[in-house]
Amino acid sequence: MPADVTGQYDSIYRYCYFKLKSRETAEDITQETFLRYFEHYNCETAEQALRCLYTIARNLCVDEYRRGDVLLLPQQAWKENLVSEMSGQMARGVQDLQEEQILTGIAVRKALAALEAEEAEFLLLRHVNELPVSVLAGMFGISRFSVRRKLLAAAKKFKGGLRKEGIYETEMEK
Amino acid sequence: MRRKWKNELKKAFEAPPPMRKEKFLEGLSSGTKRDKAPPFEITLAEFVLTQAGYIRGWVWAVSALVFLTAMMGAVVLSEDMLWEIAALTPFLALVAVAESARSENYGMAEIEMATRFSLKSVVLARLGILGAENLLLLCLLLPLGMRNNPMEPIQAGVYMVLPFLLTTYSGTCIVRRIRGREGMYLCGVAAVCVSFGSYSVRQESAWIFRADVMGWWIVCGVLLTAGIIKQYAYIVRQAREGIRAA
Repeated sequence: MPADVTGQYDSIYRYCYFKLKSRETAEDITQETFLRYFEHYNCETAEQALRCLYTIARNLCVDEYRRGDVLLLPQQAWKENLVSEMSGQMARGVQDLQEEQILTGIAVRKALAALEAEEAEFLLLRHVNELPVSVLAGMFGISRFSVRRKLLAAAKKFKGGLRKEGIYETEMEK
Repeated sequence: MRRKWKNELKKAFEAPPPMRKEKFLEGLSSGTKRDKAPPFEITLAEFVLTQAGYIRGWVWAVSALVFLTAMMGAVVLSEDMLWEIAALTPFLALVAVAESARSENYGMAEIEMATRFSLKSVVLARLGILGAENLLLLCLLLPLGMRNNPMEPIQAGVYMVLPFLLTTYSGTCIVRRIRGREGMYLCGVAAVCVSFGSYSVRQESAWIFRADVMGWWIVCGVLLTAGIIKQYAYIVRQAREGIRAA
C-alpha cells in the first residue's frame, strides 16, 4: 500500500467530521480522499503524502458545502457539535466519569467554542492530528512563520478561554 | 502545549467511531476499490474494438445478407446484379444510420454522456467502424456487380454507391430532426423509396445512365458526400453538447 492508510484514516476522518459534523458524510469524504490520492498521486515522502491527503480532504469538504448538502456553516457546525458533545459527556459523566474530568472537558469545549473555526482547525491539525508545520503551510498556502503565528494566536486564545473558566491557572499552579 | 491539554483537545475533537473503516481497508487490500481497478487509459485500437462489440448483430447480418445475395446472383446464377446491388445498398445505409442514432432512440443519450467514454467518442468510434465495414463491403460488391456487366469500374461504382449516399444523407437529416422511433420509421421509408426508386429509374429511364451524363452523377455523389459529412458533424456535435438542433 503506497501510504500508511490505517494510520491516517482516523485522522482524516476526524478532520472531515470536524468540518462536516455528519458521521456518514465524513466517512464518505474520508474514503473518497484516499481513493483520489491513490488514483492521482504517488508521493515519495510521508510529508508530501500527508499534504496531499489533507488538501484533498479539505477541498472535498468545501465541495460538500458548495453542493449545499451540509446545511451549517463550518463555524456553526463545529460549535454545535461541541455543545452536543458537552451535554453527551455530562450525561455519561454521571455514570463513569469523575466530576473533575467532566468539568475540565466542559471548560475545554467552552474555550474551543470561543475560537474562530480556522483557529480551531489549526489546533486540531497541529495538536490533535499532529501534522508538521510544513504540511500545514503547504496545505493552506502560507509560510511556516504564518502557520506558527496562527498556532500561537489560537493557543493563546484557547488558554485565555481556559483561564476564564478557571481551569488553566489551577492546573499551572499544580 | 502541555500533554494534558493536548489530550483534552483530542477528547474535545473526538469523532464517533467510523462505521466502514475495516471494510474499506479490506477493499483496498483485496483490489476491489478504484485504485486497484484496471487503469483508465486504453489504446485507441482497444477502444474501437470494444465499441465494435456493442454494435448489434443484425447490422452485421444485413451486411452479410446483401453480400450473399450479390454473390448468389452474380456467381451462382450468373446474372447482371449491378442494379440489384445498388437497390440493396440503401438498407446498408439504413442500419448504419440506425446504429449511429441508437443512444438517442433508446433515450440513453443523457446517461451515456456521463459514462467513462463520452458519447461523442462512442458515436465517432461506431461511425468509423460502420463506415469502414460499409466501404469494405462496397469494395467487395463492386467486382460482383461488374461480373456480368460491361460497365467501367468507376461508372459501376458510382451507380452502386449513389443510392447508399442518398439514403445516408436523408437518414441523417431525419434522425437529426425527428427524435426516437418515428425518426427510424421515416428512415426506413426513405431507404425503401430510394431502393425502389433506383431500381425503377433504371427500368424506366435508362438514358440517364449513359456515359455522357456520368459527370452529373459524380457531382451528385460529391455533393451527397459533403452533405453526409456535414450531417454527421452535426450529430457528433449534438452528442458532445447534449443538445438537439431544432
